Amino acid sequence: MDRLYKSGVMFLGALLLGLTFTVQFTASREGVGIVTPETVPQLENELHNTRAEIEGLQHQYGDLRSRLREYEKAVNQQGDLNEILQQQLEQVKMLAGLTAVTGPGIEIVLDDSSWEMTSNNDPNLLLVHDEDILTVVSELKAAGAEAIAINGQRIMFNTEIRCGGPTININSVRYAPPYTITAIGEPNTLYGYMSGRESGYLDLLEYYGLQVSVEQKEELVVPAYTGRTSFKYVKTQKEGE
Amino acid sequence: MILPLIGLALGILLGLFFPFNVPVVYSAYLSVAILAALDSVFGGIRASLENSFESDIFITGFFGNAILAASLAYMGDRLGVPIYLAAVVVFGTRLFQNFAVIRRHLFNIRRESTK
Repeated sequence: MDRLYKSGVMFLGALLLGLTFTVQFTASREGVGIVTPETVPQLENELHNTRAEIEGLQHQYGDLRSRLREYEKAVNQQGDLNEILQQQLEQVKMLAGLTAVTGPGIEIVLDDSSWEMTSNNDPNLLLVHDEDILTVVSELKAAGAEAIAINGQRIMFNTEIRCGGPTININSVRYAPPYTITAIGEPNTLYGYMSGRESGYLDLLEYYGLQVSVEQKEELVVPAYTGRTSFKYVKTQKEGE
Repeated sequence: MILPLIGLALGILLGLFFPFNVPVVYSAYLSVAILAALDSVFGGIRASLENSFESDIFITGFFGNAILAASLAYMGDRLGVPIYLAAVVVFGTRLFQNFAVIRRHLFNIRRESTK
């Protein structure tokens, strides 16, 4: 009798264990775990990203709504539609880089080092490389530059910045140093971003002996893209498909 | 020895069709509680092999350890210290120890029966 009772208790304990285990096992597949101090920054980051995403979507929503209102207005006052389409075409062309644009910004000039070549220094460190220009362009974009050109070549969605031996190919055109990078944007922000002690890349180039100059300009001109502008393979995807 | 295994299998089967779900917030604490319960069951098996099994000790250990482990985990979360690690380490170590003892007992039983 006592034995049976004891076995029964064990049986029930094991049953309960199996039950909770399975419930937990089938439930916690969502990657929910104990929050440890190490995971806190990660979770915070995720939260931050999601919030930013929500903000972006709200922004987009607002944009779309205002555009819808414009269309509605245009429909109400017949004839204005053409004007609005014309305006939009201009805007899209500007976005695509098909029009020359002007505005305040900064001008960066990169040139090969003036240091004398000795057997001690690596000649590679004394040249401006395609990667250097790529990084500078990326930093400018990160700093909020709205239009960028290198030696007069507009930076487009498909612009390559590629090593071509002693020269660099930009939009399939060869350029030799010095490279003049013009960027339109808030001049102080761009200048601060590019020449700040902490920002790094230009400083680093200077440290290696390259000739770097950064100047704020009241008015800069970034020319239009003049290369091929048609697509061979890309087609618009119809919405709702 | 067989009975707990049957119980475990039945429990798993029941759990598959269990209609309720644990709220996400508590699932982390339940995990620690499950570890504590697992330890208790192993301890129970060991005790019954040693013929020293006492049901009240088993029951209080089963629930007491589970509740203590879960509340420790909760407290640790609140304080920002991963105290649940203490439960994991202690119960984990004991699990292996109990398992080792259970193995020895089972081998002893077999040897005696083949003698």
